[in-house]
Amino acid sequence: MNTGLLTRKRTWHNRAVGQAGRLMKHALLIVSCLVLGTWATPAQDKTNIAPQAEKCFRAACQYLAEAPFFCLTAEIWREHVTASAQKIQFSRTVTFEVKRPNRLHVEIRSPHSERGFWYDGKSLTILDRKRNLFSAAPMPGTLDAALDNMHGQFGIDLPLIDLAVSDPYQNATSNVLKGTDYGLAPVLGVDCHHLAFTQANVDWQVWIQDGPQPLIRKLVITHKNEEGAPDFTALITRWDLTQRISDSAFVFDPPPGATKIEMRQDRPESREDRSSGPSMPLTTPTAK
Amino acid sequence: MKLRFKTRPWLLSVATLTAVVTFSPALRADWGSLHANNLSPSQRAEIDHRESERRVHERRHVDIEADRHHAFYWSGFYAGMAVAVLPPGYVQVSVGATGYYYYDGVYYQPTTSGNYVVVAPPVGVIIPQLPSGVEPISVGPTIYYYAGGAFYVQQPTGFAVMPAPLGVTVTTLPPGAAPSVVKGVLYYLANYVYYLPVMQGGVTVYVTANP
Repeated sequence: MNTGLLTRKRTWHNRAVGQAGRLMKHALLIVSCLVLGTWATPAQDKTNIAPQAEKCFRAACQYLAEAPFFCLTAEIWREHVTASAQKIQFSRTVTFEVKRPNRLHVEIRSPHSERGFWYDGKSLTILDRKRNLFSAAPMPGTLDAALDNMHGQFGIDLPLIDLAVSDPYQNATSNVLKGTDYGLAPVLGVDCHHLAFTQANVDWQVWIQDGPQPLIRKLVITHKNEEGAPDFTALITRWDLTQRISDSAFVFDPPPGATKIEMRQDRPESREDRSSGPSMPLTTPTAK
Repeated sequence: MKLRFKTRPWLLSVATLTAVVTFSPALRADWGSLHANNLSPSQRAEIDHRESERRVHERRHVDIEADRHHAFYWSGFYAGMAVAVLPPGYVQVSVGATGYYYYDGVYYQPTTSGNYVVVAPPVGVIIPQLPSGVEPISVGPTIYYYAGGAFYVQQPTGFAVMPAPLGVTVTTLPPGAAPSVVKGVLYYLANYVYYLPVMQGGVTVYVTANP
């Protein structure tokens, strides 16, 4: 009897252990599926991009990423919000020459400011054309790494640089929460797909040319968390994906009389170093 | 009229103290990319930490400072420039026995010919309110306001023109600043203050210096 009871108890125990094990296995399977699903399809889980918007934007990004080289010209506007909440737009003309994977030449111009940026796969040189001053710094060997370095080490954020990265889709949508397709709308006389995306820190809109060449024609980024929600607006007035660009276009050639100046790093350590340095005599006005 | 500048010991003491703890803000020049807005959380946290020390527009708008300054009255005036009439709304200010006419960042003195000449912002003058378009600069606990080549600090009765603190970064040169090479290094000289050009954030900014 005792043996039978013990056996029944053991059987019940074994059955309970077996059920728990199966439950554990199922739980592990479910967790594994969830983890794998999250890893395999992060965009679908995190974001809510309308299929048409996703398809259209992905096609534009793929078209751009597959271009081994391109040139573009754009008009850009940056909004400045005054203390009285008035919005003032300041404009620049921007030209890009890109040769993947490691060549970039950018010119940013207005009557008040003219600057050139050259990245040749080894270094970045910036020329202030108005003052005829230039500065250079070594850079990593790919454009993506160089852009990260420019931003992280020197605080340089070039406008429209999203078009030059190797994976424009991933770069643009990594933090998107929602994407919407607003249908066709004209940009400089060209019918474009108007897409709008939401992120936690910014909202952005993009207009993509309809037809076999899905070129980005307009971009608006709204800094919605900042006072007055200033916009960055870019109209791309010229695209050229056919004309080959010589490597010499990416090599800086100093203009006559140009003076080299220091490129200052954008790091807290550098400021702390300066703040703990010895005091210098003051510059004070002297009587004439 | 002869210009007389009195260098006051307490002004020097304050400025010396603040110069010791001077840092230059990490200004951002350009914006207009998702790349900069889609940094990893750790990168973003580091930048947020850095930028909590300064106003958002400082990092955003350095490249457009040159455009913005065109809108300000003082941008069109430099020391030595003669004008026939004073602008409506000018006020009279003084340092010791020396008087000046003042309007929105510009200081005038009468000439023997009946005109007025623009002079460098006189150290020690106190003006009732800041000129338009001032650029705030933190130097330790002190906030300087920079406009038209002058550095102002708030006082109980207004804003005093101070000696330029050394090692601070400004985004634009004073009107009329001229290149000056000292020991082989290029500076810009304006109102007896040297400005060393450096590239920061992709634009040229200027650091006050004593070559």
